This record gives sequence, structure tokens and C-alpha cells, in this order.
Amino acid sequence: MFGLLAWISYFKPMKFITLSLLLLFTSSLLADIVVIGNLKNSNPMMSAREVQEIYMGRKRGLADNAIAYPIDNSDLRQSFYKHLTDRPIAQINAYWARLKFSGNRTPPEIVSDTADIINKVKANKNAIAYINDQHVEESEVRILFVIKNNNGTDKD
Amino acid sequence: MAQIRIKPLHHKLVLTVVSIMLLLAAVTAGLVYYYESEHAHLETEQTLNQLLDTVSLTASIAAYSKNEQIAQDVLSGLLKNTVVQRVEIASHEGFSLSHEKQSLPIGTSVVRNLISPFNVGEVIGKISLHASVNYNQEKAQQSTIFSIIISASLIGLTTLIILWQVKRQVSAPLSFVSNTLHAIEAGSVKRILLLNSHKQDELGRLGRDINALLDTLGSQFDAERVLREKVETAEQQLRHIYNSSSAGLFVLDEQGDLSNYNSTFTRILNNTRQINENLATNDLFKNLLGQQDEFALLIKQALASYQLETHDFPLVEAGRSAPRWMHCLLSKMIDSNGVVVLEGVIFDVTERVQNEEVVKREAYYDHLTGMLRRNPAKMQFESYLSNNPSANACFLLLDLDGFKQVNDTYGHDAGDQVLTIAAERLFKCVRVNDVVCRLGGDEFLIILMNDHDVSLKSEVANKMLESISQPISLDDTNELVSVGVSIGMTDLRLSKSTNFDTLIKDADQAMYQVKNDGKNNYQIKS
Repeated sequence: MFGLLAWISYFKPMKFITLSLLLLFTSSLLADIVVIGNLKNSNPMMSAREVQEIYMGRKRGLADNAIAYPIDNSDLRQSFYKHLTDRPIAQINAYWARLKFSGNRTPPEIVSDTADIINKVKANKNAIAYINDQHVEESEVRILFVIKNNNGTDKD
Repeated sequence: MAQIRIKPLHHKLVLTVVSIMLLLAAVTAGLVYYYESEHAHLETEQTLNQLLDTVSLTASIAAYSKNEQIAQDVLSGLLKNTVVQRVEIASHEGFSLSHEKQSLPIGTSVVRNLISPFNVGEVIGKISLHASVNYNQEKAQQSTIFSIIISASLIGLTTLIILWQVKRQVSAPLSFVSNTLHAIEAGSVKRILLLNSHKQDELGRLGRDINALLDTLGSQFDAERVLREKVETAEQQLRHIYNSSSAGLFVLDEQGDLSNYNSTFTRILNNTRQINENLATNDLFKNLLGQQDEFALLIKQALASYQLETHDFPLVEAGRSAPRWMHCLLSKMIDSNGVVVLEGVIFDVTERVQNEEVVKREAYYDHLTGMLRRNPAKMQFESYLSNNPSANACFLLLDLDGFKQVNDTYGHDAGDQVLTIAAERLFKCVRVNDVVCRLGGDEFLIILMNDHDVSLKSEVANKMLESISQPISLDDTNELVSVGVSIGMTDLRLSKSTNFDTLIKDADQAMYQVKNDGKNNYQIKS
């Protein structure tokens, strides 16, 4: 039901500002998070585990042996990791701090703007990112994984 | 009292206690070592687990991210700990690393699964920590040494205190009592000094008891000394009596060997030198008494009976013609030691025996001729007959012819001389066993014992006629005189009697027949 409302607010933003704000609010509260990749990404649909392993640096390769380039969405980061690892973001940061100290790993690039994210995904064949499903344009990116029943954005 | 080297009580006590304590300490050390070995293992395990707790998250991250660098850091960090001997870390889908300090045998190991930091319950790797055996042993040894030092000092200190107290409270006072008692001679008036500090305890009682015993002992000593003096006096008196007795006293053992004697005994035997030299063999004593068999018999009798056995023994001595006679009394006694002995007394009875001999001689023999008198001759004949009932015996009754004439002409002395010489000649005509008897005056009886040969009596009679008829030279005047003899004979078979008087009477009749027929001849009873 929330998905339907979000969809409506996406198509009529200008006409119903109040409504759309409300809808935006509610949609961001209720929206699913979608993990997306480049259209050329030949990977089949991913499992939650695969997404986790790529984002936590455990698994680097994609299906065609290319090295994945994960991108963090600063707006959704907390709920994304909460959902994937059941860990607070502080621990995730600490985790990456350790890996960074060892010298040969880097955490995913953090990007704050959804459009930027989409552009980066479009530009890099191996890029993987996550965004609210309302921003997804299936002609632009491939949906690799859907996290249902997202509780809201990190910023709220 | 024998001199025994005293080893003080507390030395022995010290030795015993210290030995037991050392043993206890050794056992304790063994137990502690065993316990500590076990305990060290657990402790090491605990330490290893704590180390794992510390690094588990980092290790999990390393395993999850397959990051060898982090794993290396974890390993080298763990190895810096002294407990850790060897570390292994493995990620299931990635690396497998192990670090080791030295190649030492492994004592304790702890293995733990590495859990994914993001997916609860998912095992993604393994980490294992190993401690060396030496570490456990060293720990156990250190603990053991420490506990030995503690227990040894405690035990040693306690022992010293106990020993010090034992010596002060028991051993020293006991030594004091012992040394004092050791120095006190039996019967002396010295007593053990009672210590004030021990009046109420066993040592005080010991002292009092010892003093009481010493008192009793002292009075017993006094009583015994008085008694001993009395006994000594009595013994001296008895010995004096024994030695100065006029009887020869002696003691024989059961074998009849001389074991003791008084001075009178040697004086009587008059042979002190020999006795002293031959005390051991002492056959001398029996030899001295001459009749060994009879002496042995006397000993046997004395041993068999409880009566006083007596016998007279001639004392045979070299250089003395007549023996001295000893009257010997023997009686069996059991001495104070329960040994059977023979007590003996000897008296010198030589004079009495000699007197008896004289009397006996005078009673038996004719003083002038040395021939048997009538009664002894009769006794000898009768005893011969009773011993030889079937024997024959021949009676020759002799009467000198012309004796009265010699007697009347030359006097009694000449007559006696004729009788003496005639007797000598008659002795020569008969055998030793034959009886030669003077019936009285110039009448003689010859009994030829066991005369089987009929011709013997005639032969003897002829020899006598021949012998008597030889002239006799008188001592005083050197004149020659001649006498004859008339002989009447009979024997048991002829007289058909064994009666001595009957036989004499029969022979007498035959002799009178000779006198009537012209004398100086013989005739057999018809």
C-alpha cells in the first residue's frame, strides 16, 4: 500500500506539494531499498548474502570475474547495513577502520546524492549501489536485489 | 654398672621428628607438584581462552574479510604472550596461517571456531592456540618449589619450637634425674633433688618414687650386710670345725671322685703331696685305700641307700710292712644345688684293727705252734663240708711218742721246742688246704680235705712217721733228742659219719691201737 502511495506521489509532485511532502515523508518511511547495478552487469539476481559479502569486502568478484565497485548511499546507509548485517553503523565503520589499517582494502565510496549514485552506476559496468525504489528507472539500471519493508531513511 | 655411652633422648627425638618432617615435606611436595601440574594445565587453558576472547572479534573480521594482514597481526600479537607457543588461524574460504616460536612439544591447546561478525552462528574459520609442555612444567615446578619452601619453613620452625620445648620441659629434667640417679651408688644416702617446676607432673612423681625406692634399697642393704656378716661368721666357725675336726672329712661326687676334704683328711692319709697333685684323677684316693672293688661297692651302697655305710680299708703305703686301717663312713647327701654328693668320714683305726687281729689270732691259733685250735678247726671242717657235701675227708689223729720223757728230762722249754719243730715238720707233710690242728698237749689233728686217693693218707702218714722220727737238736744244750708218733686214721666213709667229734673218736681208737701195738706207727680204723 505504501508502495502505491509512493508511486502516486512520484507522478504528481508539483500539483500536490503538501500531499507530496507527506507522501515523500511516508514513502521514504515505507519505501523498499533496491540494490542496483549497471545494465551491462550480467549477474543474475543477487542474494542478501552476496550483497552483504560485496559490501563488507568479503567477496570482490562478480559473475564475470570483474571486481565489484560498491557505492554507499549516505541517506540509506544506516538502514541498509542494519538490514544486511544487523549491526549499527558505528561497528561497520570500526570494521572498515580495521581493514583500512591493514592497507589493502577500502570501504565503499559514500555518495550522498541519488542522482550521482545513479550516474555512477550507469557509468561503471561493475558499480553496485542502493537507492530507494522510487528512484529506480529500470531503463537506466538493473535491479539486483530488493530489500523489502524499509523503515525509513537514515536522515529522519 | 656398665659404662654405656648415653645418647640424649632429645637427639633421638630430633632425628625422628626431622626424618618424619622431611618425609612429610617430600610427600607434600609430590602432591603439590601433581596438583600444580593438573592445575597449571587448566590455568593455561584459561589463559589461552582469555587470549582468544580478546582477539576473537579481530580474528573473525580477518577470517570474514579473508584479510591475511589482520590475521598476521593477530598471530604476532598472540605470540608475544609468554604462554603461547604456537598459533594457527584459518579462514574457510581463504587463508590458513600458523606461527610458532620454537619447535617444542605441545602441552595445552585451545581451538575455537571463528563466527562471522555479520551472520550470527555462521562458522567462517578456526583459530587455535597452543602452549608448550615446558610452560606447564615450569609453572608447576615454580609452584612446587614455592610451596616446598613455605611448608619446609613452617614445618622446620614448628619442629624447632616443639623440640626446644620438649628439651626444656621433658628431656632436660629427665636427664637431670637420670644423671643424678646414675651418680648415686646403691646404699648411699644421696637422693634425687626434686625440681619445683615439676612437682605436680610425672617427673616429680618419678623422682619421689625413685627416692622411696632408694630408701627401701638402703634399708635392705643394711639388713643384708648384717645378715651377710652373720653368715660369714657362721661359715668361718663351721670351716674351723671342719678343718680342725679329728675326723678326716671329705666329699665325693656321684662318680666317686674326690671334690673336697679337710686338713685332717690329708693328715690321716699322711700323703698331702700326692693328694694335691692328683686331685683331678683322684684314683689315688681309691688306690690309697687299697681295695678298689670294695670301695666302689661301698659307694654304690651309699648311693642306693640313705643310710650310713661303713667299711674298714687297709691303707697300702710304700715302705710300711703292716697296713694302716681306715674306718670309712659314707652317706648320700643332696647339696644346696640339688646335686647328689657323698659325704665321708675316715678314722685311723689301725690300732683297733691290730688289736682285733691279735685277739682273733689268739682265738684261732695255738700260740706255740701256729696250728689251728680245736674249735676253729671244727668250724673250718664243717664249712668245708657244707660247701662240698659229696667230698671225702680223712682224719689223722697224732700223738707224739716219748714227748713226756723229753719234757721231764730237759724241761718245758725243750718240750715246747720239740712241739714247735714237730709242728713245722707236720706243716711240710700236708697241702696248704689241709687242716693242721693242735688238740692239746702233744696231740695233733690233721684233716686231709677231699682225699679220694686211698693211698694218700698212708703216704702222708708214712711221711709224718719219717719226718717226726728225725732227731731234734735242742737250742740250749745242742743235745739231740728223738720222738716218735702214733697215728690213728679214719675217713667219712669208714666212720659213716660227718660228725667232727665222732670222727675224732674213731681216729682216737685207731691211734690207741697203735700205742698198744708198739707205737710209732699208723693204723686205719677197722
